[in-house]
Amino acid sequence: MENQIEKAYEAKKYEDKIYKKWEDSGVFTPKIDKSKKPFVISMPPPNATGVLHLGHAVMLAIEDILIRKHRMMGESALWVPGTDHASIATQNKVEQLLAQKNLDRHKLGREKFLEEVKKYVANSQNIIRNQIRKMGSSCDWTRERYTLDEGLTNAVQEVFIRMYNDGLIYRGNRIVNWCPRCESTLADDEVEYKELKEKLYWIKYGPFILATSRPETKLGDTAVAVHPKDKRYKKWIGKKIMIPGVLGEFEVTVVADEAVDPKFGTGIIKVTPAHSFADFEIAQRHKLPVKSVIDQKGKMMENCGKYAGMTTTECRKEILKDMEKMGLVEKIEEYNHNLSVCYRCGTPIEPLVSRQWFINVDKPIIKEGNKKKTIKEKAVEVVKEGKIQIVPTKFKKIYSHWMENLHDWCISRQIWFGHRIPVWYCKKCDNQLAAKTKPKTACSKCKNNHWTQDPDTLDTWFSSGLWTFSTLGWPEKTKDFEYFHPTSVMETGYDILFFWVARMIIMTTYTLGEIPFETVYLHGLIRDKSGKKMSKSAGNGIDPLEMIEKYGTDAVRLSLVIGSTPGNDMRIYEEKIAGYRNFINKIWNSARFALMNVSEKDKKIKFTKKHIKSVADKWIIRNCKN
Amino acid sequence: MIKEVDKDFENFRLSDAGTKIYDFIWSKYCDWYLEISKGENKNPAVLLFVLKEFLKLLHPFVPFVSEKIWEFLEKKDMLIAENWPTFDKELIFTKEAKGMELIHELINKIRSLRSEFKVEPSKKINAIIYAGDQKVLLDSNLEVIKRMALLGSLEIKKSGQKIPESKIICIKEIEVYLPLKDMIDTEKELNRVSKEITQKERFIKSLRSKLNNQGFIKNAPKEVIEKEKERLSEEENTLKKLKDFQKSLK
Ligand SMILES: [Zn+2]
Ligand SMILES: [Zn+2]
Repeated sequence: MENQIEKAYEAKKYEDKIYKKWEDSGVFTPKIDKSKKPFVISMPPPNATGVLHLGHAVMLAIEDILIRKHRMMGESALWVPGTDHASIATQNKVEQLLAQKNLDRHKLGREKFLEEVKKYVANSQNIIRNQIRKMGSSCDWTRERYTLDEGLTNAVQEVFIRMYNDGLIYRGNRIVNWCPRCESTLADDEVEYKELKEKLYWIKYGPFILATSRPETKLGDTAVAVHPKDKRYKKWIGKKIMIPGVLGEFEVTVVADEAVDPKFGTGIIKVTPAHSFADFEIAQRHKLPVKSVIDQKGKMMENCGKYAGMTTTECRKEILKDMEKMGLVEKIEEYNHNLSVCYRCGTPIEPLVSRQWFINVDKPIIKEGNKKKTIKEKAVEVVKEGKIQIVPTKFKKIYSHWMENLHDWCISRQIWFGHRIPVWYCKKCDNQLAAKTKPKTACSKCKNNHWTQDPDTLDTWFSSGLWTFSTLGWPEKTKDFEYFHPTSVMETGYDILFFWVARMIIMTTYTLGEIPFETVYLHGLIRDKSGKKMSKSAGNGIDPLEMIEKYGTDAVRLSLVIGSTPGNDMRIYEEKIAGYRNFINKIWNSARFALMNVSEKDKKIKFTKKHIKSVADKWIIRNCKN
Repeated sequence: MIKEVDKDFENFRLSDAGTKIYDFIWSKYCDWYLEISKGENKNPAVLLFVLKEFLKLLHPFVPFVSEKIWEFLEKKDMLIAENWPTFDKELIFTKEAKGMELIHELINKIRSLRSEFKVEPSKKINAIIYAGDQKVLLDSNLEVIKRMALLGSLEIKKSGQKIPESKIICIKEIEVYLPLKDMIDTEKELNRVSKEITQKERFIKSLRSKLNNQGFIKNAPKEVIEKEKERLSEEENTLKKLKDFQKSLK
């Protein structure tokens, strides 16, 4: 019988059907009604090739709760779903698949490789879409976007060109975090640290003895540095001296720099500007020459004599042997070292000097009255003045501190999959310009018409930084963009406050002169029963889809929301989810009991105040409606 | 509840909002209203109205189960598209709500007295209530009180004489008398009590002799002695209570 309510609630039996009913009804798609303020959330786009994990699940649960509530309140509630192309992550995955077929991207070539990636993405996008549905997410699928779709590509190019023409984007030689395996730069926050026992070599260095962990970089040394107040070396400062080396003598300058720690080793350090961040900065301050000796594959360069072509590890071994022969090695110690590694593949980072594209965060460009503000200042201001609220508020300070200390943002990546940098170079002279498509006109300098595009792609956060407005059709003057932007709430984990949230604020305030969202809601990280961070390697992860299968989506949602507060980490374990399944059963049973006590005729009663009779009636209604 | 839930939402306290809704369903709707509805007080219109209201409130949190239940109530419209419940000052019955809370307190107190005396759930006991000004209120809920407090008979009077050999519960001006003989199997209870008295007396005796032992008094730390003394007076007190109780049973 259709009207008989079953004894037990079987989530699995109903959930997909109910979701389909909602989606088919069109209720996820709000109407534009200019008489009222909309409620809008841009869904943080999961990686197009990813699978749903608990981090996504908590994000979807919280956002869906907010959207459903505001929809029921009669607001135009829009939740824009989408996926992120996640350049490096996706490219790596496809490369791994190709390797199984004995292929690599260089054999295929750029175009064919990108076709492979496209196929792969299209396939796996369906997986993540269905997983988002499984969570009950009432997002507007008719407005789904992808960070690499046509519209977003147009938006990305538009913003790049504006910034380029404003002189905010520049190309420069900079030391960058380089992964020799991925052959790409990494942003500071894409670098991870691993504590290791490493060797510290005490070597004779001309008249000095100094300690270094990387003897192979001696080939690129152009200076030694001491602390200005270190009396031991006072007489050497400013002198140029010749140092005996494995490839013969070479010249270094002795410089005095505050950055040197007089307590480390002997208080004097060798300076390799091309392969160390600290040394690069010393070199900048003292105008020292920069000599590169390690190439982008992590191999010693042509200028390294007999060591040329060796990997840095091989070179270290060989050079130590040769130095021992020359009597240059004083002693070898072990010490604890924080090695920086690539967050994607775990390969040790090789700091390299290379030509990269940067966004200048310190150039005054945003006009306000007679003044001009830098994009950094503007991004600090909107939070400080409360135009953007951060929940919980403790993150406001952390945000401001981070933003105030922001350096120029390196936006180029040496990978193929992503938004290609829209800069065109004249093949015949040094002219360059920014344009969405290949220029049809001749070079303004040399009158030739041979253009070639920059081979690099943009940091994936450049496109996701435009997410709130690019997804609404900007730069076209769409009705969606006009009505739904700025959005209401940006809900995400606090771990990507800087990665992403901060960048959205920068990109949006610069491009539109308005905020991307009114409130940032940050949820905590998910930990296991004992409070450990969940990870694949620790084997303590919980698969939300498996939990949905077992206990139903509602139970999973509750376990992620009840008992947790914004900004604080939460513990999730199977018994907890099972507990919330009982909670769902209780709700079912109470409704079932109520339904068994009424007739079909009763259900047709149109409730009015007149129906309230007994003291008990009045009491229950008061407790509900107050 | 609605006002508080809305406030929680405004402040992004989703956990608090969810918990409040659940508490309402559980401790108000299920524990009381549905129970009351089992008797002659059943009012399907209100029962359904409140059910629908809380399904709407629950929906953002548990969209699937709430929508599924909704299907049994409404054939045409889906819950997802319903309007969020709003505060309604027309429906705030402060006076009646207080009356209902009084009845809850009364029932709860009788129930806990029953469990204190370990009265089997199947056993009905009797009660006489002197209700004073609340007589009208209690009269209109006589059936509810009788059923939910598991009473065999219930008399409600404005006032009356003290009833001996009864337990008395006082809630404001209301006095509830529960004759002890209803709650207790006298013979069994006398047996139990005298056993307990014997045990207590034996224990007190040994405690006393310990405290009279000079060796103990000399050697034990002060705090230990103090503690033992305290214990003795506690035990003597209990014994006195037990004896009084024994007397009342005879
Ligand atoms: Zn790597
Ligand atoms: Zn040219």
